[in-house]
Amino acid sequence: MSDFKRKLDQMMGDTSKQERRIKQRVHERLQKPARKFSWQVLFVSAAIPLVALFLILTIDPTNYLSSDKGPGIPYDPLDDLAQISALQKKQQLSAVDYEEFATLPHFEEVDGLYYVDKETFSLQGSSEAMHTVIERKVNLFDEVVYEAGDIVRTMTNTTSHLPTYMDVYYKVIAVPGDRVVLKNGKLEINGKPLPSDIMDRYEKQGITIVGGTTSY
Amino acid sequence: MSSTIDQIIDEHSRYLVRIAYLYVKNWSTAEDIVQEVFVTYFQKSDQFRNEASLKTYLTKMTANRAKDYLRSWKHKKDVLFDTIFASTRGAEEVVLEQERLASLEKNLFQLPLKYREPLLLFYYDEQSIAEIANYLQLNENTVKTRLRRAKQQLKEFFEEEDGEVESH
Repeated sequence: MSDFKRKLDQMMGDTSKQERRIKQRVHERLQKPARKFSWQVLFVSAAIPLVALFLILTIDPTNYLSSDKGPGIPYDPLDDLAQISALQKKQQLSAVDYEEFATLPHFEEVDGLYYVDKETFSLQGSSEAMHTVIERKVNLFDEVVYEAGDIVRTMTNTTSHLPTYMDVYYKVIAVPGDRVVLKNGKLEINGKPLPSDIMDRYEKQGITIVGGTTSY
Repeated sequence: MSSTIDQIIDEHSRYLVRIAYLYVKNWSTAEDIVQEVFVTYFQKSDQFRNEASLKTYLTKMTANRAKDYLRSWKHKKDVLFDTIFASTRGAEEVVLEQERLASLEKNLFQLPLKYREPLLLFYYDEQSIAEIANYLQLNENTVKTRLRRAKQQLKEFFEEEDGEVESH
């Protein structure tokens, strides 16, 4: 043994305690019993992928769009953008067939834009046009004074691209704060579908409309 | 089986824990390393090929694990901790250790691993230059140079052993 090795041994001193601990711990580690077989672990392990598969197959992500939640839930335009871009990739967005539009009743052309006009309406039990008219307030952002189902007459000279008629009546289908979704030709207000004669016609003809937009 | 285990541990643990300590400078860590080496060996002893002696095999496993530890984040964290509290701990240790051996320990662990490792393999594990060069994947001349520099750093502890590197 070299002198330097002897010095190193002296420097490290007595290591019998360390050696005893090592021996003891090695025995403890080697004598640990094998893990018991657990039916619970097997069951849970097998169930997790099945539950995941079930959820993937049954959950329709479109049911969770913010646009279906109604007032109070922030609208997230990304929901729609993602769907629109997916439809664009698949080339499933609708192309307007203006000739088909022109053959429909109540077809209107205003400022170069094409519209299928609103449905005629009357109160139940009466053939006359008996309308509830509530005027819009001066300030556009005042509290809404009408509600869905009311019949209103436009009084403001709007710059909207929507057609404006003097003394024409509209039925309110949604008020500011409601989520209006036009998807595949079906109009939904706060997630509830709105009956539509036009869509009924299309369904009878086997015509499907793909795409849509969301507003509030 | 148990008696075989005891026999192997009794035969090698003293040497291995010291080798581990010379790498990691911490007795608790050295114990953990040697414990892991033994457990791994006993669990996989069927894979052990008798190409080298058991002592050489266990020493290499210990050295490899010690170097893994020195590269680990845990070790780096401990070094930082030791640096911050160096003043209080150092004072206690100097009081406890014999002065000269404390000085050897201090100087030894100040050596970077690339100098300390050939030194302890040569002087403590008593490997030849060729064996060290083979294990560390280095040129023999590089090993000699590193040994010489390590000796220079610790020359006050080598007064009686001049020329040993060349003659070993």
